[in-house]
Formats: sequence, structure tokens, C-alpha cells
Amino acid sequence: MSAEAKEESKKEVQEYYEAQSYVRVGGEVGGLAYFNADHGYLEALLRGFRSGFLKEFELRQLCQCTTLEDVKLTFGDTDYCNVLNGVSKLGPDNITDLCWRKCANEFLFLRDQATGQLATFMDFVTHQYLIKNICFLITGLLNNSDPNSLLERMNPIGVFPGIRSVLTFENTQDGMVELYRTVLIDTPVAPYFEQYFNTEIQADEPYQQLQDVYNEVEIDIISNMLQKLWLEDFYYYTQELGGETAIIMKELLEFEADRRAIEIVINSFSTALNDQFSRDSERKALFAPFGTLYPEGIESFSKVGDMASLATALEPYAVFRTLWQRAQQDGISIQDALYAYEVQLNVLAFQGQSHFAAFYAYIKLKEQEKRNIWWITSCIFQQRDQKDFNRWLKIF
Amino acid sequence: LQSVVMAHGNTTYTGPEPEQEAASGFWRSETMKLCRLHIQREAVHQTVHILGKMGVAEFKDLNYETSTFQRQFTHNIRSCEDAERRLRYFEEQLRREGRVPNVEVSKAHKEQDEIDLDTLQQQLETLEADVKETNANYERLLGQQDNALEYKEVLSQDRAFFLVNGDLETQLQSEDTTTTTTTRTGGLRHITGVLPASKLALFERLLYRATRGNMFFRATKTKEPFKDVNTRKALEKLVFVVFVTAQRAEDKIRKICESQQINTYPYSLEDSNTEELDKIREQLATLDQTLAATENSRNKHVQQISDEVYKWKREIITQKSIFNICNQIVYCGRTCQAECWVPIRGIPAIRLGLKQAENDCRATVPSVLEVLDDTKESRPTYFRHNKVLGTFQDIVDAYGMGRYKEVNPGVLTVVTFPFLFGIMFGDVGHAFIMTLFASYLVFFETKLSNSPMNEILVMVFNGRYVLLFMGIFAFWTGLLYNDMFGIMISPFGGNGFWRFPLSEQDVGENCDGAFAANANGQTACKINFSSVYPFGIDPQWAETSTKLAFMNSLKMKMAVILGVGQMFVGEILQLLNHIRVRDHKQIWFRWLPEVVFLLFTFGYMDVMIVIKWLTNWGDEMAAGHGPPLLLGTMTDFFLSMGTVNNDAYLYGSAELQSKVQRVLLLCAVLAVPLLLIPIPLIEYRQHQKKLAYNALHGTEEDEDEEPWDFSEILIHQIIHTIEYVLGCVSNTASYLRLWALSLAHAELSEVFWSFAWMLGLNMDQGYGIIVFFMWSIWFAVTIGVLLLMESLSAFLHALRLHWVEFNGKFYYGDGHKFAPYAVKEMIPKPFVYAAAFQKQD
Repeated sequence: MSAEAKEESKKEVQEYYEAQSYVRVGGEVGGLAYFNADHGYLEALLRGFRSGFLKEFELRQLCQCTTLEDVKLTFGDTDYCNVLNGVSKLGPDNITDLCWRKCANEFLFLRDQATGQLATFMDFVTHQYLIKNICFLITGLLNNSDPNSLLERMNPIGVFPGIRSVLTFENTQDGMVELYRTVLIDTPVAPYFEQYFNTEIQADEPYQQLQDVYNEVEIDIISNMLQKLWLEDFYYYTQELGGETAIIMKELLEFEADRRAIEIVINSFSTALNDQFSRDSERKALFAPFGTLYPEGIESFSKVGDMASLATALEPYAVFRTLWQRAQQDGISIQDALYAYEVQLNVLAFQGQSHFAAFYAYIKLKEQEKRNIWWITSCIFQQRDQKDFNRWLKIF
Repeated sequence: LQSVVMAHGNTTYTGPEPEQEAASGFWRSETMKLCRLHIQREAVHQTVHILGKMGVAEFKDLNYETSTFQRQFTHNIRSCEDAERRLRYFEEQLRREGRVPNVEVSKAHKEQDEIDLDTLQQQLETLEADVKETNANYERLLGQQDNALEYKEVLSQDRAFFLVNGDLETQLQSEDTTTTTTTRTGGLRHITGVLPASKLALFERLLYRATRGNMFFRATKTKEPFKDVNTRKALEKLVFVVFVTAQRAEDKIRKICESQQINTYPYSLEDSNTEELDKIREQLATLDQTLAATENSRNKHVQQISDEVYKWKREIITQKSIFNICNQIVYCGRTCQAECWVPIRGIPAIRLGLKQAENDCRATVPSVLEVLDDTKESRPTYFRHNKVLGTFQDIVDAYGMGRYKEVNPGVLTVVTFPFLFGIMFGDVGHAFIMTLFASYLVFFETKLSNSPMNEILVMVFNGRYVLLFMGIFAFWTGLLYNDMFGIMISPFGGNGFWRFPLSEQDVGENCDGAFAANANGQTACKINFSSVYPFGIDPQWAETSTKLAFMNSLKMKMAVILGVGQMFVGEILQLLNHIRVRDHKQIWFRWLPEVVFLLFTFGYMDVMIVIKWLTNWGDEMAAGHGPPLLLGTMTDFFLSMGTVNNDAYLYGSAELQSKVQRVLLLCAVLAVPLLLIPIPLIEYRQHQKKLAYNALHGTEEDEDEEPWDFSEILIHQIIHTIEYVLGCVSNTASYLRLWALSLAHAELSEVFWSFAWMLGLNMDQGYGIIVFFMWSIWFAVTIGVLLLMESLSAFLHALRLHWVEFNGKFYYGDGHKFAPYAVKEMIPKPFVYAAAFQKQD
């Protein structure tokens, strides 16, 4: 047997065993049956991280702070006690960033320990952040920001080794395709870019070429497009896993799709996307093809041009109707109401046992915590009135 | 505390001793007083500092309602934290240099030269700025040096490295023409640079993709080794050259290099580049000089840090703790109030401390100490002990911290714990080794406690006195068992009580036919009626087949006697607790029935064991009355009241024994309802009375008190009764572990002796080789299994007997520990501090 053939057969064996650890006889991968045997340790760790969330009284205590130095002191009694050590100049951004870095490290630690399908599942979660990071870098380059500060401000969950190379992006003709060919093809999110380019080229067939130069809004649209593709991929992947995971992730991701759709519509109101002609083509392309709103609700979005019509479009859906009403009553934005509902769903998902969704819910809840910290610290920083503070959401 | 006062104050307290409760200190916890200190505001800091050095007062947090950042001294704490951050930065510098801070130098400073916090802060700040600047300079220079070295590497590459085959150009050209329509001229373009080896694969891939394979790449290892600029660790680097044809490709590659932080350097293919090479050599020489100078100043900083960092650390920790305490004090106007728990013996010391602080600060308002006697709060428990007793106290505290003024089981534990261990571990040889080891730890404790140890060793070292006591007691019981490494020794010669004749003839000659007993087929004769073996168990037993049966019977009975004895002592301690608070209800309706039940059942069994031992069964058997089986007697005692077979009585006559047993069992049975019923009824009546009183006098019920619930009390009493009655049986049985472990230990030792060592002796033909190996095996097993594992298991069982069987009889263990504010405890010991730096390497 030649060395090559040996290598080949070795690889085959390895692949076989890897596949074995993925697929179990007599139980779905995402189900209860073998979860504890395969991932019990990680779940135990995850349950331990639950106590790391800021408790309600701690958040209230944070709201009492008058300066950011006070925040540092208050953090002294929480799980974030050490993150602000050694930071001499405090600001809402770097506080939030350092706190998020801690959560990210915890998540990445779990990711590194994970095996089998759970590892793939958690990789999927990181891909969303990777897409955001890439788009963030490109937007930063368009604005001529300092590349090094851009790299520092990236989300640590969505980093891959060669991400520095994104900085070679040039905003010229086929700069995006070039970037894809040289750099992005190496990343795990390459399929989404490929899909994007394929659809894009078909859509713009008469012109036979991509746009010459991009501006910020277009990058934003690309980002949304990619995220939609990711969400779709993730959704079908979780449904394949089956078991508890599929049931819970279905609920979470369908709500995510709905929430995204509503948010995109709201954000599009003052842009070219809200144009009568782009509503059906460009805007519609950003909506994921699943969720409670799909397909009738999404169809009806083509008539939506302002908040009032959005309310009408959402009227038939009980969940969104009540959320809308609650938002009106409490005087908060519909986005905040959606976030609040999302936190509820995630808390429920987190509290369920023996499924992958808890890992997803964990990072989603941590994201809410990040928003809480950011909101409170920036209120303190800007010396805002106490009543403004109340936009934070209790998690546990 | 007196010594603290002596050591601390210039003036010594000469007044009368304050009031004290008898046996206060170790038998019962110290009398604690809640003291309120009125201090002038300016003197607070100094007062807290002095009290902190004494370590006699536990401050109460009077501001518990205020959040951390709203308190008085929060900004001081913050600045201390800032200083701590600086210290951490300095420590990091030391680590990077691989230096261990010089704690010895700092020691010389001692506490005499107090540093002003503000000055220290400023000093640290300037130093930090200096160090940072020097570091930045140093790093910048290192970076420059690194770049220069890289450039030198590129320039000093062989010419051949940059030369390509002639047809490459045309090859690349032709490929280029196929992809782009316009033909470019101008020959090959090249980019040279240096990259870390780890980036090679990624870089090559990027190049390939960016130029669509239309390039030529070549890389080779550098001649000189490189170091990472930041970590100063070895880093493999490669010199590379890329050939492309188009300007655009070159731009793209340069951009990739930039984004990947790969340095590129100009290299002319036409020139010989000697000029540049000379220039770079010159530059390197100057860089070396500057680097040396910077390093010099850096070293100076590091030296200063290394000398003083421990002193600073000590100071900052002290100050921070003082401010933390200051934050627990209430301020009003020019004075302030602090509340603290103080052992009554410490009050004079505190008075002295207050006085001294007053003098130090030249305070105009004298500080006042007010003793608050009417506090309802539960007082902390505090025992004065030394390092020997402290370890035993820790064993008790691990179960539960004693209630204030409750009898401390730690006192008896000092003796009973090693004794029970000794019963299970009794072996002269093993105990000797253990004692030797413990003595080593004890004799060299000063030296050892100042040297770093690993975790397990620290645990053993902290328990060295327990270990020593355990060794000594095991030695004693080993003598009693007459066991040494599992074999019996004859310290007093072989002239024992029994003699086992070797032959029929021997019987005739040496036994004078006085008495021959048949024990399991062995003929033995009693040769000496008047004396017994002087000490311990007669070694003659060693050779008999009944040895095991004899030892078992002895050890089992001994275990039960000791067990009931210890539980009875526990009951006595319970009585003392009740007497102290004059709780008659508990004495008559809890303690009395409990003692009656214990003594009249298992106590009686112990008495019977002793009677059986003391009876001369030789004479009795001659009279036709054999020894009864105690097991059967006890079964009959419980199950068929008053049944004593005519030929199986133990003392007096069958009739007498039957009567006694009837009375005892009846009493024991009656004790159960006495334990169960009265207490709930009495509590019910007391509560009714209290309600009536409250109704009459219109006083409201205390809000702090838990709501009164009769059913809860009743259930509690039922549980207690069941637990106690069943506990008497199971706890007595539990003491049988003394026998079981002792048996296991003796048997294991014997097995190892005969199957490792003796077997080796037999097999050896006089060469000594097998003896050597078998002896080694035997010794290793003795150390590993018998000394380490067996001692651990005996230790754990002794622990259990104390926690469950003994403490369970009387110990509440629901107090909280007195935690005085003591600065000394917070500062890391010099050698520990230094060790943390050594570990990093």
C-alpha cells in the first residue's frame, strides 16, 4: 500500500468515527436520549454560567450609580468583578465591550470543549457574528476608519484567523467579488456569500455586472441578506437535528425571523427600500422564508409603507397584536417589546434541559445583558434622568 | 491578648482584671461584649489602624443599608484600588523579567517607617508613568531593531535566492496574456520581505488567490534566529520573495502584506545592495547602544520595584482594609460611632488603643468605649487556643461553629480523637514511624512554615500536632495490643500466663499437671497462677489458632464499652449546657430520660461485659456453671423480658438477674414517653401564659420572633425521640468500627509480613537478593497501604465517631465565628508572595 493510500484509509477511518459520534442509533441527535452522555458536562458548565447573569437587584443597584466609577464598584459584587480591573478610562463603550468579552470567552470555552453535532451547532451560532464582523470591517473601511481600532472593536465570537485580510478590501469595481475570491472563500460563511453573489447576478441580469462602488446602506443590505441566508441555513440545520432541539429552536428561530422582518420594515421606512418598486423585490428578498409571518404576512408587507400600515399587517397575528398593544400602552418602541418577548422565549429555552437550544439561548440572553449594561452605563455617562434608565430588561 | 498589649503599647494596663466567667476561653467560649466606640472624626483612621494591628475587635457594619458607593470612604478605597492596579502592573514587569521580589529588604523597613498614603500614591503614579514610558521606548526600539534585522536578513540573502530561471518570465507573461487582453511589458516585478513561519500557509494561499496563481513565490529560513518582539520568545521567520508581472498584482500583494502585518523591504536586483547593507549595519550598531541605555534605566526601575513592591503592597492592603472598616462606621458631626464585638479580656487593650490613637492624633475629644450589655443579637463564638489545640478545634468547627457559651467539644476531642484513632491504628511499628514523621514536622515547624509547600503537604503540615498525638496514642495502643508490624513481640519475656507444651513429654515435665485446657484442639497449661503478663496482651497468643477469636472478642467488647462511655460523656456535657442556662424542662424531660435509656440498656450490657471478664470461670465451671453468651442474654433482655435460663445467668442467680433485667427494661421503656410527651406540653403552657401576659399588659409580640406553631414543636419532638432511641442502637453498633478497623489493620499487617517478607526469607538461598527485593516490597506496602491509606481511613472513622456519635448527643453548633479585624491576616506572607513569582517561570 502506498503512503498516499494509507493516508487515505486513515482519513476514511477517522471520518467514519466522527460520523459515528454524530449519529446515534435509536435517538435523534438533538433529542433527549443521548444528550447527557455526549454533552452533559457542557450543559453542567452552562448551568453554572447562569449565576453569572446580573440579578435584578444588581441591575437596580447599577441604576443607582451616579458615575461610571460607581459602576466599577457595583460590579465588584457581581460576576463581572474583575473585567474592569486595570482600565483607567471608563466609558459606556469599553465597559460594555469588556463585559461582552467575558461572556464571549465563556461561550468560546464551551465551543472549544464541545464535540460532535453540538460543536457544529455552536459554530453555526458564531457564524452570525462572523458575518456581522466582516460587514462591520467593510463599513469601517468605507468610512476610512483606523483599521487597527476596527480590529479591536470586532466581536470576539465572530473572529477567524485570517480576518485581518478583510482589510485588503477595495471599494472598486468587483472589489467585493475579489474579496470573496481571495479571503472570504476561506471562511465558514463563504457559502452565504456565494449564494448572495449568485442571486445578485441573476437579479441584475440586464446589467451583467455588479455595482461599481458600494456605500454604507448597500453594505447594510448585503449584511442583512447574508444574515437571512445564515438564518435559513441554521433553521434547516436545527430541524434536521430533531428532538427537543428542533422543537425549541423552531420557536426561537421563527420568532427571530419574524422579529427581523418587522425590524427591516421599520428601518426601511425612510430609505430607498420603502420605494413602491423595491418593496416587492429588494426588501422582500431580505425576509427569511419561514416563521409565523411567512408567507401571508410577508406578502402583506408589500403594502406596508408606514407604522400604521405595519400595525394593520400585523393585526391577524395574536402574538404581535398583543405586543403592539403593550408597546403602545407602556409607551415603548415595538422593537423593545419584541426584545422583551424574545428574552422570555430565551429564558424558557434556557431553562429547559437536555437540548442544544440552551446554548443558543445563553448567548442571546447575554446579548440582552450587553444591551442592558450599555443602556445603563450610557444613561449614567450622559447624566440622564432616572426615568430614562428603565429600558433594561430583567433576565433571571 | 495580654501579650498583644505588652507588645503594642508603650504604656501597660495596670488596672484590675475585668469581670470574667469561669472556664471562659476554651471549655466555653470567651465572654463577648458589644462595644460602642465614640471617636473623634479625625482620630478614626488611626484608631482603626491600631485596633487592626491588635486584631481584637470584630466591627459591625452599621451602614448595611447604604450601598457601597454611597459610603464615606469609597473614594479612598478607589484610590487604593488604583494603587493596587499599579502594583499589579509592577508585578507583571517583574514577572516579565523573571525577577523575584526582594522580600528580605522590605522586611528591614518593618512597620517603623509608616508611609504616607498620598506620598505613596504619587510615588507609584510617577514610577508607573516612568516605567510605561521606558517600556514604550524599549519596545519601539526593539521593533526598530527587529525591522533592521529583518532587512539585514533580506539583504544578506544569497544572490541565487532572487534569481529565477529565464523562462519564468515568459511563462508568467504568457499566462498573463491569456487572462488579460493587454500585453504589459517591463519585466518581472518582485516584492521581498520577511514573515513569521506560522503565517506561511495563509499568506501563500492569499497570494495565489489574489493573483490567480500568476506569481512565483519562494521562501527560506532566516540565517539568524529571531525573537518575538513582545514575548521575547524564539520565533521562526522566513525571508520570501514574490515575482509577479503586473503592477496591479503588486499593489494587491503589498496590500495583503500590510493587512497581514508582514514587513516588506526593497531589494534591488540590479545593485549589489552593499550600500544598504552597510547602512543597516550602522543602524543596528546605534540601535544596540540605545537599547543598552534603555535597558539600563529599565533595570533600575525593575530593581526599585523588586526592592519595594512588597512594602508597598503591605501598606496598600492595610490602608484599604482600614478604609473598608471606616466605611462601616456611622458619622455624625465631629464624632462618629463604631460598634464592635470584643472578648471581655480585650477591652483593656482596646481602651489602650483608643488612648494611643487619641494621643497620636492630638484629638481634643477623648474617645469613649461604651459596653452595650442589653443587646439581643447573638454573640460570636471565640476560643482562645494555641497552635496545638487550634487544629483539634478546627476538627470540631468543621462540623459546626459552637453556639455562644456552649460547652466546647474541642477540649475532649484533643484526647479522645487521637485515642479512638489509636484503637484503630494500634501498632507499635507503624505508630513509631508516624510519630517520628510528625515530630520532624513539629521540631522544624519554624523552618518549614517559611518554605513553600504543595497543597497536600500543607494539609499534613497544618495537622502536624494531630498527627503527633495520633502517633503517640497509636503507639500506646500498639503496646496494649502487643503488635509490631503485625507480629506479637515479647517485651517481658515469654513467661506468660499460658504455656503451650510442645509434646506429650513436655506436658509431663513442665506442666506439673496442674491444669490443661483444651482450646480448639490445642493443649495448653496454666503454668503460673499467681501472675499475669505484666503489660498488654500475652504474646503466647500469637502462636495459637484461637488468637483471632480471642482478639475479636476482646476488641469488640472494648469498642462497645468505649462507645457507650463516650456517648455518656456526651450526655454529661448536654447536662452542663442545660445547667448553664438553668433549663429545668430540658434537664428533667430530655436529659434524664435519655440517660436512663442509654445506661439501662447498653450501659447494662457494658456492666455485664465487665462482670464476665472479672468472673473466675475456672472455679464457676468446676461448680457446674458455665459462662453465658452475652449476645443471647441481650437478645433475651430486649425480646423476652426477664427470661434468664437457669444455667445461663451471669451474676448472683438466674432469679436475681431476671428481676434486675425486668426493672431496667421497664425503666428504659418508660423513658421513651417521658422524652416524647412533656416538653411540647410545657412549651404549650408557657406560650399560653405569655399570650395572656401580652394581652394583659398590651405588649405586642416581638416581630423578630418566629411565629409559634404547636404542631412544629410536636413534630420536632417526635423526630428527636425516634432519632434518639434508634440512635442509641445504631450509634452503639457504629462504635464497632473501632473493632473492625483495628482487626483489619492487624490482619493486613500480618498478611504483608508473612506473604512478602517471610516468603522472601524462605525462598532466599542465602544470596540476599530475594530478601532485598521482598523486603523492599514489604516496606513499600507498609508505607503506602498501612501508613498512608490505613491511617487516612482510621482518621476518617475517628472523625465520624466524633461528629456523629459524640457531638450528636449535645452539640448545637449553630453559632458564628468571631472574625476580628486583623491586618496581619490580610497581608500575604513574604515567602508566599515571593513563591507566586517563582511559579510563573
